[in-house]
Amino acid sequence: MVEEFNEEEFNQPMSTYEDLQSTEPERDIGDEDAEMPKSLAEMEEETGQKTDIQAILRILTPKFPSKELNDVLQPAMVSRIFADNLLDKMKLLVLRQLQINAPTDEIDLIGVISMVQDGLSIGFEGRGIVDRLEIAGASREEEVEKLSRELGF
Amino acid sequence: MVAENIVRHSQDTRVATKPFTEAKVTILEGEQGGGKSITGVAKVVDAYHLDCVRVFCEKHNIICVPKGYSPKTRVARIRHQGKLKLFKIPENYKLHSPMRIFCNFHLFGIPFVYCQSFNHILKWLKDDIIRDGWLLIDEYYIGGNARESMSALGRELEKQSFQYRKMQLQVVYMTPMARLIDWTARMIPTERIECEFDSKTGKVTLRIKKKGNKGTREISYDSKPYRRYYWTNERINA
Repeated sequence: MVEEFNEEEFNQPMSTYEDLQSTEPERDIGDEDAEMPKSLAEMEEETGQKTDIQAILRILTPKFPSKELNDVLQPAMVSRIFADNLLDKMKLLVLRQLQINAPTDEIDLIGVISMVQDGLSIGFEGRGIVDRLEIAGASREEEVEKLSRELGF
Repeated sequence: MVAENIVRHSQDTRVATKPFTEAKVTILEGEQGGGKSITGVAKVVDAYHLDCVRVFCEKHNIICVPKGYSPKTRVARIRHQGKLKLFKIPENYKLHSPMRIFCNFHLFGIPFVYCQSFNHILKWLKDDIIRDGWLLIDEYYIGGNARESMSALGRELEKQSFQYRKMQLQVVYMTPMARLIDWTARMIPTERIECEFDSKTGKVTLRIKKKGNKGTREISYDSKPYRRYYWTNERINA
């Protein structure tokens, strides 16, 4: 059956949205002088999507303020530092930092010692590698467990 | 009916965007006063303002969508050719967006359509009035209650909810607990957000879980600027 063409109906407005819509003025909440903080959309955009494992690895792998420290300590955190080598290595690294920064005379000695010790302690006896592997294993187990639950095993 | 639809779609190029490849449904959970309503408002207000200040300049070949916009200072942040730029929108420029917003509570400061009841929402969904825009449903458990999912309204809402993608609708359900709403409505959302409000700082913390992404991310935002856009004590009708 052919539908009869009705020109009037054909030309009617696309919807009644415009008829239904209304705009009321913004409510006065009395903080006109307050600063404009970042919006939700901006906060959402700034915060990248991180998995739990990425978030914990970021905490377990600290970033140091100077490039020299990062170059030396990042690999050290996932290496094996033996007990009889730890203090020597620490002394050498602190001395290296002092040599690099000597001309400025603005070096934070305690800060450097602390950062070097923190970095080396993560890699002490390969603990850094073990920690990361444990996290990866736990994450895998959790996934398997979740899958098992979903499948009803 | 067919002819009418053709007219409707052909005239709708003003809001023509890429078709949704998935339903964009968000479920906001939180206890009473937990910041779920304000989060729904914040999402739509941000989207509206960003849509208002799209930047097109044929002369300089600039086509960009701002990253952020402050309605108070009228300053928009845009990223153009990798650089972040700020520009102020003149006071005599009226901001307008064709974005269609449907709510079952009142918004202030932006144009919207008030849906008085869940029956109105259902009717307008069926009549194709609610489409191509945002649909915010506060206290969703009233109309889409889990225990009343076999009522006429519940069944019809369920059927419509499977076509949100086709309607190009961004839907936000707000409910204290997902378990209170119909199980099909729990299945559809592509984003789940748990809200927590800190009354001392006025900040709302969100734990966002997106479908297809592993893990949960947590963000915090200041709710104060959004309070002017809705009234927190408004009751929702059945």
